[in-house]
Amino acid sequence: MPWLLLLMAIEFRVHELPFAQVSGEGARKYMPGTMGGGLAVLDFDGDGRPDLFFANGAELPSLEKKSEKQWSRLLRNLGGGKFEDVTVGSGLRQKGYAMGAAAGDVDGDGKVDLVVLGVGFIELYRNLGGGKFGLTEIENGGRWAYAAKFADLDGDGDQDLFVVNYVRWSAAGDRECVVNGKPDYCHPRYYKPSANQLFENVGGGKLKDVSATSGIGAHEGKGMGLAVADLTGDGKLDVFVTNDREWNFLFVNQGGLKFVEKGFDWGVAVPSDGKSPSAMGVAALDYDRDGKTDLVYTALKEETFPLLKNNGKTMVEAGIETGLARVTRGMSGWGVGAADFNGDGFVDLIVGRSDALSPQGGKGAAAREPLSVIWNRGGKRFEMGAELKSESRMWRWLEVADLSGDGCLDAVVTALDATAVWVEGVCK
Amino acid sequence: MIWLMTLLLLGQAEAAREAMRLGRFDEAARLYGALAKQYPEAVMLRYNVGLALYSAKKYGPAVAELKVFLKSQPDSPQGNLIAGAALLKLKEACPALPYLKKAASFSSTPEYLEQRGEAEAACGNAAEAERWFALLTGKQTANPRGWYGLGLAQVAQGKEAEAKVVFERLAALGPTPELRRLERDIARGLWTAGRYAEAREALQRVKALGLREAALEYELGDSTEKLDGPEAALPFYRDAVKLDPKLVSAQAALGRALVTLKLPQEAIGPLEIAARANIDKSLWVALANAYRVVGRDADAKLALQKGR
Repeated sequence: MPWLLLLMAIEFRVHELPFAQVSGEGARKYMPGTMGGGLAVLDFDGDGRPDLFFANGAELPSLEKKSEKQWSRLLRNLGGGKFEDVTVGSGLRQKGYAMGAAAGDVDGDGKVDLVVLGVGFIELYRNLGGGKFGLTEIENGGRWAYAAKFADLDGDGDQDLFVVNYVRWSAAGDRECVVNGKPDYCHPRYYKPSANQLFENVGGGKLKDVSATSGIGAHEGKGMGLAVADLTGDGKLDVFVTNDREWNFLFVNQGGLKFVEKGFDWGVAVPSDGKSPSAMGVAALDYDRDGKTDLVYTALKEETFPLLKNNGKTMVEAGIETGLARVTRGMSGWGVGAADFNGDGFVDLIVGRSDALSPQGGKGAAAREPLSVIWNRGGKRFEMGAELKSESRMWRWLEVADLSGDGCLDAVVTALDATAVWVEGVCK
Repeated sequence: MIWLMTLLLLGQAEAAREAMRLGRFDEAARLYGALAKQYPEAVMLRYNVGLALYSAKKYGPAVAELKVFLKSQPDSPQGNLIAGAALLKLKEACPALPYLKKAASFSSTPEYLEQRGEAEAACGNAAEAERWFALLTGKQTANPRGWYGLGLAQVAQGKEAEAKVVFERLAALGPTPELRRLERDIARGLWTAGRYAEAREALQRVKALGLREAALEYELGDSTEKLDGPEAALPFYRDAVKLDPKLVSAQAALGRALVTLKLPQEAIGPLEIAARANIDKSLWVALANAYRVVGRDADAKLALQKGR
């Protein structure tokens, strides 16, 4: 049984990082207050160690950063579990309410650049070297930009940018909602949807908005996450977008930066029971190692995290037969990472959990949940892992990377109004 | 001729009284009605028609007759009492209250106390409801409806500790319909509040008391689905639609569960019933999914159009 030798025993150690997100939550619950916590993993200094960028909140409802605590942060990985805050002088401290970030080499100079997304803005920070970044604002019509990924969507060798926008929001138009007698965040149905955006990399570090001509801009949703992968098996990268309580989108790549939305035809728009869950974080993965890319996304308690198995022509729900529905029925999830943590050849899941409602609101402390690892047993069954122990927080977004450089995968997870953590995977 | 007419009148009135005495209320109402038409100036006849109709459980027409009577005798305690009671039977508690208030001279009777308590409670006057039910239970310590009403009125005011004592008194009376109703109320309340584990336990308790009700099975199914998934919920949904095929929420839940469990052919029937009831557009989407999987693409397209 030589394959047994490849299996690694793993344990997880949770370390606090020198960054604490500021949500801006007050007595009045403005929607952005529960949505923040985005991050990006990037090796900005090219030393081979993944560094970290954390998008930070601001005051609400003004959306302005008024203290140092609200700065977005760049942490340089020094190795050995040490991180240096190198925000000052980097040009990345920012002004507005940041929600997310994405890293990619926009200008093809070999240095990783950064896009920061927030309520009403997209900012491109070109890596100038020496730990400095130069800001270029990208016109986005004041939309609430929420998540993004760089990918070569037209196959021309450079990195295009797909930006997922959440809802249309303004402080003046925000509602006051009450849950179980307490002020709390409103259901997304109270906000109008917004269209996503696609930017073509036209060279020279320039991004051109091709949302209208690509077909992306014709579809309005309440986007929270995206996965970029060849889901249809034609060799071109497609884009799957999760929408909060709305139909998800599958933008099938037709080539030449043209996309057709085929979510329903591919069985990914909405679960078969017709009810749209609070679809949030998403990961593309081949959980059963059949060579086709599957999808998993997080949702709120009782909705389960849908697992969509790709059969080449459509995608079918596999949550019940794999046990993932049972494992996740009691979970509220945000960020999800898919990676083979224990080295058995099958992709496992790690989840940043918590409710969308405030812990000061109707659900109280029950809104906080722990982090979870879910093991993939041979591509057939998912089961809850006991190896990851964390306290309950308002965990939000996460990224998987080998921060310690020991060959064993780690994760970085943010939490609202709390320090972010490095979940160190320790292989034995 | 006058003596003949008087004799006729007396004969008809006697027949109506006899019908009332024998419990033939419809006949009594008809006879009194005929008399009232002949003698419109005799307003007490309208009262009698109202009383007969009330006794025949024809509450709407009873109220109409009594209103005519009360126009000429607005303070009649009897007329107001029956009008109030009839409105209460029609579940029009707030309109019943002014009539019942005018019949307060009956407040020494348990029937009045109960009706007044029920009307106040249904009209949202929990403190008043508590007062009247307290009078009732003071008068009739073994009246389960009194304890039930008193406890609920206290719960509505947040007096949970006091209500607990009251419900213990109710439970001490044995397995009364009111105790079952109380258990049912509690179970439904837990389910509505999303406390599914407690709700499931409470619903099972009510079921064990012998209640066979489609809504109960549906709530059991829903709680079970929330906790353990659609497969575990399926038997409850099936029972619910068997007990009441018109319970659209149960048909919807059954159809959704079946389609999730990859039984699209079986899901189509309940989903068609539920989707056509137009309670939730997403049911058309579930139906479209089921049609698509079984290869009914044209139907899927149509259903999808309705669902979007």
